[in-house]
Amino acid sequence: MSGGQRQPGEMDVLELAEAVAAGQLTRTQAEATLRERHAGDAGALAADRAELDSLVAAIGGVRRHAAAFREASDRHSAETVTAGGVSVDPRPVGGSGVVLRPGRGQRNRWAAPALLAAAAVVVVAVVVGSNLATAPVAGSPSPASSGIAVASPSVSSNPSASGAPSPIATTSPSVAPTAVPEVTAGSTAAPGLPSIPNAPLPGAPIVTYWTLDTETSMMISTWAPDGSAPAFTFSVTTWADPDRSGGNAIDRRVVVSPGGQRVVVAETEFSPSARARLRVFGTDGSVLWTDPSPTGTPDLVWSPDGLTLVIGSQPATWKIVTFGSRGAAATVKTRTFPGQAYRVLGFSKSGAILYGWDTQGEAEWWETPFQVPVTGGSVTPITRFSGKAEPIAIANGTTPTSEVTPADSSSLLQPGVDPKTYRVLDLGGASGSGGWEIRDGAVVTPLLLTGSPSLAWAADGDIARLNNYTSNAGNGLVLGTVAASHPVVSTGPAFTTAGGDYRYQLVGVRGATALLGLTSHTSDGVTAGVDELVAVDLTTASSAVLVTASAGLTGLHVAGWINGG
Amino acid sequence: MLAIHALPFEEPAVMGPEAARRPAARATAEEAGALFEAYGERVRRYIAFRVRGIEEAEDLAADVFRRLLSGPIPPDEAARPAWLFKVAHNAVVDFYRRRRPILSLVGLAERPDDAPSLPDRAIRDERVRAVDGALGTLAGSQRTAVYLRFYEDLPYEDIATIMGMPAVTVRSHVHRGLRRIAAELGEADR
Repeated sequence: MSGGQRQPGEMDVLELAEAVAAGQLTRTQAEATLRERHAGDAGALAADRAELDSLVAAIGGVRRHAAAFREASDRHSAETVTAGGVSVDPRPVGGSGVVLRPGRGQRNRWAAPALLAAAAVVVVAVVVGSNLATAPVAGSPSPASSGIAVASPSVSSNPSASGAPSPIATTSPSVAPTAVPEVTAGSTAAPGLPSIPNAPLPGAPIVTYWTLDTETSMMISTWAPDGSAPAFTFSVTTWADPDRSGGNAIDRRVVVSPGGQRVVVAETEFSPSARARLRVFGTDGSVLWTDPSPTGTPDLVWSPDGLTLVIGSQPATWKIVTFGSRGAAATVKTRTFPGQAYRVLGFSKSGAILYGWDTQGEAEWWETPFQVPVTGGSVTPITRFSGKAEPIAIANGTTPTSEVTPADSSSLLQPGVDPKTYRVLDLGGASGSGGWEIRDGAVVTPLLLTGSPSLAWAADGDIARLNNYTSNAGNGLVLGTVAASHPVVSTGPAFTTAGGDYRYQLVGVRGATALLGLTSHTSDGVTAGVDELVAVDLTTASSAVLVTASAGLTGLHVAGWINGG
Repeated sequence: MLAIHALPFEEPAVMGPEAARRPAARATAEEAGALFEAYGERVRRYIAFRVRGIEEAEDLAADVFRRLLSGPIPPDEAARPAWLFKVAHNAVVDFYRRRRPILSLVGLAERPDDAPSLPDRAIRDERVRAVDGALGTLAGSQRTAVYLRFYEDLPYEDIATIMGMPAVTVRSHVHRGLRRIAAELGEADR
């Protein structure tokens, strides 16, 4: 009765609406069915047509709500809320699991998910015995949970500076040499994490990251896994988060340009006041540009040459900011798409074309992509990313194809476009196969994987595969490469770690280098970032580790790659 | 150069055919672990979607998994997901029945849940806010049907099993719930 097996002529309006919302039928096909059904009865046709449209809109709204609900639920579950009043003591009791102890903070109703999972762990562990103590018992991320786009809203703007680019620092940035990462040779581990071999990785791209040093200061720095000195380190002011311990009331998005010349910092405060701020900094901490009309939780992507930044917001307005060399003034071009639910994907390799997708009907980014010239002109829908004269480029950004971990680290999966073949590695979704798949336009190849691994395109069309994420790395992590044609066959050596009470995630892959984030459970509920970063050469399984003297108030957050294109 | 290595990735345990042949019996440790790993998060979400109080939701989730460990489970592996949701659904129904003892079962199903709304920080789109508000006005049966259909992507037949009613009735609940949400979205657009 789901509608999937029935012909359109047999469907009622609800089934038609579900089929349209899932992309199984076009709106035109559904209307044709209604016309056929109500031939000669204009009144009934009009009524059903209105009903169809309202149901499709409602389903789209419900899907968006589902995504937001899952995100809120997953975030609090993963963080095992502490400030919300509940914490989990990871110390084993009788070798069988974990115990709960009450926290001291004010209870938060959204702490329930974390507590529920933990409570169930206790029940299972106690009853079934120690053989489950090392099994991954907390919920694995649902593939569907990150596959549905949530449109970014406009937040009441709070212009804080003129639109004119200015080299004058309005935020009192300061160089912070004391925060240079501490990298040592041999085996390295942040507290609570397993020891991991640490050696220079020649040729690995530089990683940019940021930490929240104080409530009002962010440090932005780089880590070179090849052992080189940091390319830059500077600090900027940030808004204090009134609810950081309760789950973060401020969304921060930091993205470095691919050449490492500029860093964009976008902040959105949700409560108590709704406000937004976006600034672009030079690597000396000077403010190069401040958005005079910032919007909340924007899409951010740099062009491959790092000269142009696109800022996307909803309703669809894209600002395209181009920075001149040697401190020349930035120019801003605005593209608006009235009434459209468009979001940004990224630039083409030349920077002349922008790719985006239409989120209408709860479409996934790989289902309704389009391209549009940067300089003007209309949107052209496309069916595939391959075969383009101006193919989509690898860059740094916050969008699904730009290969920087989301600002809130909510996604542990890495769908994307293969930089070699431009095929899409995606999570399926409502209208897809429901699991990892490779698609090139209408040609879809389900990967039929079990265990919810994290995947990302690696070099030469291979796929980097991290064994299924759990909240407890009881058996350690296994990272390697597999063939895209047969994703259970390894094409390189495996990188592994010892088990323990920690979480791990695949932050991203650039070329032959994969970046992992590890977090000790002692940091749960404290950090949205990670305790340490591990760069892994996928061809040799050798690793370099970044353990900083301090991970700040919220851990290490990745802001993109430099020289990794 | 393609070097073929032994598969290093752990795959989840697959229950063997002997489990399917067993009559209804208590779950083995492996079965309970596999069910919890696969569905624990989803069951927790479902309860959190329908019940506001933390303590109550905790208790209900614990009850569900206690039931998983203490009583018989369906021998047919394919039936277990719907069964687990049914246990959770019944736990929620019982919860509201205890809280509203003077209402009939029909009356219970027609009342809105005392369910949580999304926190402001999770709402990044005014349309989501409108949906969130509309969900709060749905009768419990509509809210349940909409959730299982569009948050869990379950077929109507499975939802019917979970809710203990004919599939056509489930469809009616979904249809009415969507109409109400559509009306709220229409208001939000004006």
